[in-house]
Amino acid sequence: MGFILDADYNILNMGVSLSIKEIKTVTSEMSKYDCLDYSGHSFSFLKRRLGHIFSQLKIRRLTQFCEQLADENFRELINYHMAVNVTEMFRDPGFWRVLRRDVFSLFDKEGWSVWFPDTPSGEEVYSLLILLKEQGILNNVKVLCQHPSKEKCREISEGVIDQKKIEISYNNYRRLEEKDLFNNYFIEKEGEKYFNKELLEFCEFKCASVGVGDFNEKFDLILFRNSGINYTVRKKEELLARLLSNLKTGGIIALGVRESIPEVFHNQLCVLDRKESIFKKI
Amino acid sequence: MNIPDQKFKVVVIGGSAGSFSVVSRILSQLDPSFSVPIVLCLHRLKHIRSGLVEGLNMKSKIPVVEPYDKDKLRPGIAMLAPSNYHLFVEFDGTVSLSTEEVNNHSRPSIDYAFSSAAFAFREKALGIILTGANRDGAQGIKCIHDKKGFTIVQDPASCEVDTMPRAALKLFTPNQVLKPDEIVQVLNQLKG
Repeated sequence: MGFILDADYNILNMGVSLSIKEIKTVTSEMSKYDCLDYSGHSFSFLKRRLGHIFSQLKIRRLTQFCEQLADENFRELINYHMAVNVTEMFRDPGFWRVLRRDVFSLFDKEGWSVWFPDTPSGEEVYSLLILLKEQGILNNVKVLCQHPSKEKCREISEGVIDQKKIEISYNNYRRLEEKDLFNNYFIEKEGEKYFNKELLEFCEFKCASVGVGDFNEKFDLILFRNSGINYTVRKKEELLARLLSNLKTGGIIALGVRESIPEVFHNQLCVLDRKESIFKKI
Repeated sequence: MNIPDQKFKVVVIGGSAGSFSVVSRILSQLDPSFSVPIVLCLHRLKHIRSGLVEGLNMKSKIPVVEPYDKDKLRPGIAMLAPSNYHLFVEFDGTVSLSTEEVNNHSRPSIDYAFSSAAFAFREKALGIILTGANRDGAQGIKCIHDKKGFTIVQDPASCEVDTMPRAALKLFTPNQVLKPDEIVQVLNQLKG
């Protein structure tokens, strides 16, 4: 593995372009480490994200990459950069409207739980917390956010948000026909906006691979939107099987609006809202 | 007019400002028995999920669908990249979607759709770049050209906004520079 990358710097802002052989070598070396098994991700996803990482970390040799894998901090960097951040808060406003109108009321008013099995950035979590706050049920809901990168978990727990996304997030929020309270949920520090940490009081953060955990707990709601699209069909099925084992009967799972439920799960789930990809466990 | 004699596994059409009417015109004149899968990657408003596919279907001679992630390309079906998702053509003849960062301010990015088709199908990809107001797509269709696929650029004189085709023409010489009705003539003579 001492060869120089057969890669070019790519013209399409996708970072370095790795060959099939290089991608196989890299993922095989990575999978030797806990929390770094990306072998179930789709090939095109690996090509893009590894290219991005090699470019970001200025890696020119496979040996350099593989040697550095022994370093825990380097592995953390990989998990950090492999993540695809959520595009904006309240992405697909119609989804959040259905969640507020048809889903929240299904759960025990005394208390219920939500699991984000893959939380690459705060936008999705913050959106949920705002809705819960506005429905007056924030204190009744326990939220578990999970991601393999410690730094990602820290950022979300600190209320970090991409400043460039605030305007589009605000516009999405307005499409929910909510009261105009959006700015109340942010504080300003040194000219940058942060999500108000007070709303994160009942959130827990777990640093672990997507969907992996020793959870005896079953959840009422699992939000796994636009994460499954990064995997092979087979791996996505494996992940969904795990997620469903952690979902209560009558509980709800939401996927991205252009994701479908594999046929193998059709006897376990019924459709609550097809357009918004919301399903109920039978 | 130069009609390619190789068989194609996919036709990718990219466009931006003004492209809806051109794509609609192309689809309305296609032979109903057209047998090559089509991918349409058009810049669109990210928060409006419905309307475009319905509008295209009103005139199209072949079905236009918005795919779900990992749907298979199908002969004679046009797949429209959903709003706020990138669309990539895969080796196994499926399409995968992604919410990764915008490219050229665009999601879906036409560059990504073209370049993934070039990577997956090489000389069996045909790329068509239409009218548009930014440069997205120019580098991607060049990837199809570089892999010996067939490339068509809409004649800038026939474009509502010619930035996109001119950006492509600055990078390489395509197989054809055609007006919309001529593009249809080529498509209707393709082998699937």
